[in-house]
Amino acid sequence: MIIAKVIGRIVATVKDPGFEGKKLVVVHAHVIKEGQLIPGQTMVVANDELGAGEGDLVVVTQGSSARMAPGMKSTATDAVVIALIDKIDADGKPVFKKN
Amino acid sequence: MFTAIVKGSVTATRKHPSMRGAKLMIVQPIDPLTSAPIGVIQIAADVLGAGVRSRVLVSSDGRGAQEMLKADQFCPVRLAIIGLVDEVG
Repeated sequence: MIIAKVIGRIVATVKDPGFEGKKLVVVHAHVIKEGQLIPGQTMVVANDELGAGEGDLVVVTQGSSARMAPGMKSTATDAVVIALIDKIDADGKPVFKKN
Repeated sequence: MFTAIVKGSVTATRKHPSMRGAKLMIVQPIDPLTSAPIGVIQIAADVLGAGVRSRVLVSSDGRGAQEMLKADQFCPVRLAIIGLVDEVG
């Protein structure tokens, strides 16, 4: 699973029927370096059923586990937002706190 | 999943039987916001009719690829085009 920031949405009319009515967000993977949360290298498109908005920090699960998330059983997804992050602590220090 | 631009297609006469119903497209992964290319090209199965130069969404869910190709569990395809991108915002 990765920590990522939601940076946008994707709209696709022609798609696999398993994605009908499912929201897709663009997320930018983040890493924690020296107690700071900084943007990483990868950008991923993920399904979102939790209502993540632009700027939100989320947890994204990838691979075949993504289908285990509620409502994803018949979706050919490989990435799903599974949590909206409130707070991150690392090495005993706060790294992120949601406003 | 990632966004990509369709660069072309691959034709193969001798191939795994599960790939008979699909086209194999050459896709270049791109940054979804700037469309700048990222990494190396990949081959993805397509049943949606994606054309060359179209912007697509690619999933690496192998089981999803099997279902799209109506293949059994021995289908070796991993990447499939699952959507044609209209808009990124």
